[in-house]
Amino acid sequence: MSPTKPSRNLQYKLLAPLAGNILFLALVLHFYWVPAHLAAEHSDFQQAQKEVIAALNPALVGLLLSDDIVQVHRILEQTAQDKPHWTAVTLIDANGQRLYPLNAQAVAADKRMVNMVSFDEALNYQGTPLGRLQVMVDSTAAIQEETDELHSGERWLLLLLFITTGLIAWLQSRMVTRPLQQLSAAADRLAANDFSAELPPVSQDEVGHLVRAFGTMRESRRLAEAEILRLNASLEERVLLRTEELASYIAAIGQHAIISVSDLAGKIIEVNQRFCEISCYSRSELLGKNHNIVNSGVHPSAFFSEMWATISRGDIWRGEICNRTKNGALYWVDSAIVPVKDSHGQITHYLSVRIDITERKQTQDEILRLNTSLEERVRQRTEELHSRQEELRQSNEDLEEKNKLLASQKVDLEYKNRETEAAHKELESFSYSVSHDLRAPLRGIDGFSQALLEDYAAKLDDQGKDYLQRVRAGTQRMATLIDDMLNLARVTRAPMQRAPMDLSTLAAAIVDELRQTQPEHAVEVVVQPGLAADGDVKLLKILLMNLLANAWKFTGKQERARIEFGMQPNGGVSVYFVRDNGVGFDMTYVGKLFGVFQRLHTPAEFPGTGIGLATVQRIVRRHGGRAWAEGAVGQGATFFFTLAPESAPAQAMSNTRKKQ
Amino acid sequence: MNDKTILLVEDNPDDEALTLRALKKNNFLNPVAVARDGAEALDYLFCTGAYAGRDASQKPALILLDLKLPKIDGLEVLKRLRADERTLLLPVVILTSSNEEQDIISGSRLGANSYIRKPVDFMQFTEAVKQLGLYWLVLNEPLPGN
Repeated sequence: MSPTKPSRNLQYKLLAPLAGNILFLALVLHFYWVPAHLAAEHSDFQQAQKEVIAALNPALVGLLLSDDIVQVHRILEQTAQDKPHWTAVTLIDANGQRLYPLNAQAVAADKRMVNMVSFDEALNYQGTPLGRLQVMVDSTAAIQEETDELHSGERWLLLLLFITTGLIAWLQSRMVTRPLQQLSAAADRLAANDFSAELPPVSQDEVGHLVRAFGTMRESRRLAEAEILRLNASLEERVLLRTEELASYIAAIGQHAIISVSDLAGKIIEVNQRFCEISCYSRSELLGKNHNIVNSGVHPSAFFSEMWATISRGDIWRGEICNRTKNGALYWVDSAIVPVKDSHGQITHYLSVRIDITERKQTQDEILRLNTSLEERVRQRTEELHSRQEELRQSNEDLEEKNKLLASQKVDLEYKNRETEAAHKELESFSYSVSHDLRAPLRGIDGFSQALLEDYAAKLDDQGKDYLQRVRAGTQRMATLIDDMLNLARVTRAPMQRAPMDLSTLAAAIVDELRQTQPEHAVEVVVQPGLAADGDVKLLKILLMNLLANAWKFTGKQERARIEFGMQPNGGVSVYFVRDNGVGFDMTYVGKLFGVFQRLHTPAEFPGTGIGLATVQRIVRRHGGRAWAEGAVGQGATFFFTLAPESAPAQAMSNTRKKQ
Repeated sequence: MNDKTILLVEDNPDDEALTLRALKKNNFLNPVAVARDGAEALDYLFCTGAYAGRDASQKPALILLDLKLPKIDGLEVLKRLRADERTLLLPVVILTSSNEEQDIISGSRLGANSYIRKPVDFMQFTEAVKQLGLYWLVLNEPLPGN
């Protein structure tokens, strides 16, 4: 709002009624009051003339009767001299004969004058006309003096009115209009943020009140303005900061995204470097061009109609667009077009942010292509399968037949299973009996043989004593056999408790035990540390006990006996081994090693029952593993074992766990 | 050596003879009462049946208990023994042929003081008897009142 020169309307508005009033009064004075007064003067004057004329009537009648014309002339001349305004006096007799004046021409000349009033007085005597007196009076001249006085008064009055009005206007201007104008000017300057305008002096009236109120208002406005300025400054600072922040964000986004700004018609206003890079256009080539410069023609027009409908509605549009570079190559972008609005919500331009997804699109296309070919292959395979299915259906029928057979066999088997179970239980009680009852007589045989040797030594010769010693050796050997057999049975029937364990520690403990029981035999034992295994600790202890004790026994004749326990991985399965440098064995008989009661040495060479390795074999089998041996006569032996199936170890392990 | 009575519960006469021999060879001259089945052992301990006239205050210093016995088996004898106030605290050594895990566990659970498997080798048997006799009859302080 620009400050304008204060209009003088108010002054005019105040002056107009005043001027109107004066004009009205002047008009009334001039056109009504003065003429009315003049008319009244005329009327009075004429009445007076009339009365003068009427007063002449009787004298003239008498003179006419007496025919004293001279006297008539004398009276009339005298009267005419007295009455300077009587311009013409004419007396005519009854016959129309002019008696006075004799100079008619003068009368005629006088008749040409304006404002002439003529009087025609009939001179009658008792109804008989004697003649007529005709007088022409110049009333204007007669009342000229009064008229002049009136006009003079009128002028003075008008002058007075003008002076009064002028005074009132001056006072109005001084006391109302000018302060108001000054105030208005100050308001205008205030509007232009100028607080320095001089205010009119404060009077004790409404205007003064207004000036005071304005002053107060201006002061508070000044303070508010200062506060606003201060706030603005801080706001601007923050805006600057945020703008910089935004600029850095945009720069960061611009590093990665393809950005452009276009006007409402789609004309490119701004692009970033990434846009230029991907489109192969230079910045100058793009600016001012319509966005369809990169249109690939891949999308139908409806695609873009929908896009334009969305963004011109003020909504954000998201989508994937295929564009074309300057060189004609296609590229895909994941776009977001954001309508940018001003403070009135009017869209001013569009901001587009895109990410290059060409590679992803290519991958998708490739996947699609592969999928299609896969589908085709699936279709072919399905057809093949259908024919196979038919074959299968045929064989299924056969199988069903066989299944029925199997079902009946299964019934048999279940029956046999129950039988086996019963047999198993029987075996258990049998084992117990063996353990208990078979040993008792052996103790008797051994004990009494010893008693004989002790109490009747004098009555026995050396051969007798030797026989008794042989009896004792036999019983003790049988006791060992019984124990071994019991162990073998136990290994077969004991429930499995599979758990992670440390084989190295177990082996070391067994070696310690062997050293204690047979301290006379010095053996170098090497145990690979940290050999973890998953198995039944009791069974594995029996297993290691058997293998290590065997090695111990068969290195008994070795000067530098050496036993090694270790592990070598083989195809995901741990192969454990116990190796010794003892007497070894002939590989020809390797098949007999793990059989029950199978021995490759005589009891005289090495004591043994032939059950140990059979026990080892059973324990390994119960773990789903395998045991085998390698060796040569005089070159030691190595016994290998695994604790899990070698073909599919993981599966077997988990199966075994489920069974527990 | 002393007059603490040993109760030997053993059905096999051979084992009985061998045990007595082993004791004698180790110079344990204590009187030995022999019960040939579980029922007789209980009669002896609680002074019932054939032993009704026995002085109940004369308690054995040690019981050598076989497990496999006619009529009432060894574990049952042990169970009843431990269930009775009078015999609750008597030292019981299980002396058996069995080395079944289940028997060892049951014996310990029912309150046996030791579990010894009879070795077939008489020399070893003698040694075992010597050890347990030394421990229970000589080294171990008997409970007051016995």
